[in-house]
Amino acid sequence: MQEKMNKVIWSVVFLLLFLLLLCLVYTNSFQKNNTSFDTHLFYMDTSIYVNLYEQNETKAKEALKEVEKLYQKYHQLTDRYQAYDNGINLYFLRENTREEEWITIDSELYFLLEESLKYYEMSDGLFAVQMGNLTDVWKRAIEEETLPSREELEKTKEYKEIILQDGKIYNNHANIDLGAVAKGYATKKVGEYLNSIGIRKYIINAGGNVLVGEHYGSDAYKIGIEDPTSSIGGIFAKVKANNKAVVTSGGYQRFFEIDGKRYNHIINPKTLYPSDNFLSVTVIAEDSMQADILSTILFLMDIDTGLEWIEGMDDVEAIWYVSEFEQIASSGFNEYLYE
Amino acid sequence: MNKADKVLILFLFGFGLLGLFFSQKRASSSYAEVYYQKELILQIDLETDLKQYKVKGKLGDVYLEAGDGKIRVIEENSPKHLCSRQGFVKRKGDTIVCLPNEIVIVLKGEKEMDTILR
Repeated sequence: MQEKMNKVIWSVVFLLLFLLLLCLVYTNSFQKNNTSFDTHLFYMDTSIYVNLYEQNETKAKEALKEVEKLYQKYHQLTDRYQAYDNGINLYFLRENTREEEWITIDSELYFLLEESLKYYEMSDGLFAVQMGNLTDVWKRAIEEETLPSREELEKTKEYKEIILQDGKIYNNHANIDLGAVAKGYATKKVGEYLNSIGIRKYIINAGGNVLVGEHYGSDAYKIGIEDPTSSIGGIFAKVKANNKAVVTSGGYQRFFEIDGKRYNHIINPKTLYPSDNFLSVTVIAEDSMQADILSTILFLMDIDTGLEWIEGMDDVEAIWYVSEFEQIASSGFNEYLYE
Repeated sequence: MNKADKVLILFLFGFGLLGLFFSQKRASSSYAEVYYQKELILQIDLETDLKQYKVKGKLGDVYLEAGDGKIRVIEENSPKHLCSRQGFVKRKGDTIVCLPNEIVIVLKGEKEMDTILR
């Protein structure tokens, strides 16, 4: 009797151990099946990280090549410093010497300008891609670490309007800066491309524009938002999300300091000076372009108007980093936080 | 099944589990990858003492210090020296980007987070 019991117990122990082993081997090989392929690109004045999870190596590598082509295309389309053979871009629009009154432009560039003007209206002039002269003045100021004169800034108020009609732009040599929307748009298009070829598991970080697809395991992507006051790259919020865009606008990375005051690169077109309401603003939305535009607008807006905006939108959340001691989040933001 | 069989089987399971444990352990140990443009040019084991390394960037040599689970850029040629000002990074998945030099350093290993927004 005693021996029989022993046998049963041993068998159960072996069986359990065997199952445990199987489990471990299975989870191990499962992770290996979703092989990870990544690349680092340099376009749009930033570093872009693209990570795909895909079983088929050839497909993944082809996809990464296409992704690079897309970023290159939007880089060229929105480049303000150089012309390219393959079409009309922002540099061309500003510098061209053509006679014609109206210029036909790429439909995507047209769309970007149209959308930007929509947000210009909606934000009561805070989102102003037509004020390239103003951003130029501040770009130079940050490079040379000297404050621009009031006169120089006032002059930028006489900017050329963007006038669009039927796929054409009025050739008035407007100085357009799409820096606050181009990365978000390009990343959105890259996500759409990946979805269209059946790669649904990916994470992209294009200089503060994060877009995540479905998770490579059975969890959600973990995204850390850097603490602007931390000198060692600490994190103040940890966000978990799938199929979302998460975008941060911060003034604490590109800036210069004079007499203890910081001047960053996100300029308020109304005051003509960098905005210092917040150290950073992070937006979570479905659409990477919308998230990019909103993060800039919220960075320029006062907190009350910003909160009202976000609360009035579906599926959009935001967190404002006011100071080391104060961070304000929209009502649904907490659902994304973990730990 | 006699006693020796049982002992043998238990041993085999034990070894199997240990093997799995160590294979996972190795995958999670920390190292850094250094890219120039898109090319992987250097892999550094971070489980060693601090050591210095030199790689070529677009504007000249980039000097790194790595070990003890962390890595930093100590000297490079660029207008603002943003990447040497960044200091040590030690979190898996974190990056140092030297934009003018087109050098990217990525901390690898079992990630605590998939990406960092800044």
